[in-house]
Amino acid sequence: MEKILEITNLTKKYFSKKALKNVNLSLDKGRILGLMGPNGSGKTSLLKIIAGLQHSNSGEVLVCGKKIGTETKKLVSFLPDKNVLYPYMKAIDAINFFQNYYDDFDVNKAFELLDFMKLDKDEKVSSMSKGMIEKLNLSLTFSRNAKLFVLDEPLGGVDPVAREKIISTIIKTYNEDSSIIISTHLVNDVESIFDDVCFIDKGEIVLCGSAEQLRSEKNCSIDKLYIETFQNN
Amino acid sequence: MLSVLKQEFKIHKKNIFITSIIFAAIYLCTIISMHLSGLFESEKNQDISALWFGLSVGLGYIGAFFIALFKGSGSMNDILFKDTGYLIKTIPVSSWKLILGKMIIGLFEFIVYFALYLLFMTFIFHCGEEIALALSMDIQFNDFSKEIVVLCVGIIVLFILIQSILNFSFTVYTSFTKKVKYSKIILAIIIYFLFSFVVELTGAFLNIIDFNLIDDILSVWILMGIFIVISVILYIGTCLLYDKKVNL
Repeated sequence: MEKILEITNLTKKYFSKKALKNVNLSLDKGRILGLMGPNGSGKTSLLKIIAGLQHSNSGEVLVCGKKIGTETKKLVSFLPDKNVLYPYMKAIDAINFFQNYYDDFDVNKAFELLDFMKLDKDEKVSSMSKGMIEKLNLSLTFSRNAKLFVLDEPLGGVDPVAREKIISTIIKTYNEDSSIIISTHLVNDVESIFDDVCFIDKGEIVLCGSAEQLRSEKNCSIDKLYIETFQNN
Repeated sequence: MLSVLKQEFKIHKKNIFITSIIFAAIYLCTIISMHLSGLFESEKNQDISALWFGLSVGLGYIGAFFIALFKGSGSMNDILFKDTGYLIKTIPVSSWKLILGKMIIGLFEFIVYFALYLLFMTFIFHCGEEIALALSMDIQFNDFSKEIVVLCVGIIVLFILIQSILNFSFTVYTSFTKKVKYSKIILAIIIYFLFSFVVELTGAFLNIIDFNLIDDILSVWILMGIFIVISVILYIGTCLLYDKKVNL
């Protein structure tokens, strides 16, 4: 099976505090990985390093066999946990922005997703609600034919209807040539789509494996397993 | 590179257009006011003309400079201090192309404002005697004609230099001190040294223009060359830091 992501002995420090400690992780092509852990566990740091927003202190991260840099940015489609679009931008401007910079951006897919999300292409980001911005960002992220989709808290702070729409989009746009990493607290809402799960705590991976295997081994849902793992923190 | 230029122009074209309209309106008001002062030679009209003239000169020199420096495309503000930085840092463009592209559009913005200013000043020079009369000043505007080319190039070079210093200092701050205790004080110190440096350099530049320009124009071009070299070094430093040290 082709490896989309390979992380070896990754360490990230913020001054003396270690955010990630010798993290080892790999992701095969066509898999959806759920990255879960409490606040401050290192999820966002890990995702930012994969996306090229942060630098590691030691270790190696390879995306499709390439070290993190300009080349891997062509392969990774990142959805941050906040709005990163310019407030003055209309949805159509954001589409043009992505089309200008990403060769793999599919404009038709973007318009299809806007329709599906019931977003107006002429509406400005500054006048959109948090849920609408989240949906717009997700539409843009999934309009790329990237190898690796990295979604940081895609369900955070949105209402259940928008949440359902976002999950539908993930399922709808997923294809077997790419892989997805989803970081979330809302395990119950998305656990059904995970092929693999990874629990991270204080910068270390505490549990990692196939979701199906873990469910049968522990005889409980991933949601319950998450609560059991982190309830003492 | 082309994609950066295209995108940065798209982002800033509206601002450039609106700011240019405002500048043009102020310059036009100044010209009209001065013309009226020439027609009606009263002290009140001369005062109003002087006020408009001061506003125009101030805007042309300082306003255009600051607007282009801090609000223009060349500023690293939106990629270092705002959430939009995430968007920019994840695009598959090297920092060299990205920052150079931004600085080129930033420079273009300044040149647009400066060209408007030059147009205004050309008009003033052309009507020198009339304007001097309107302001009750004994100015020989034609005296400046020889230096104008050097002065224009000098101002553009100075803009490039200040933009490079600002971008470098903000990148140093983001790379090393953003999350340190009292980081704001450190930023203030960096900015203080930065501006001291800029003032010193500007002082040196102006001194040479004042004292050596007519006798030794070569020294002015040499100074501008030095400014460009410093700008290039700072640009390289900014790109390396943005690439290797900036964590968002």
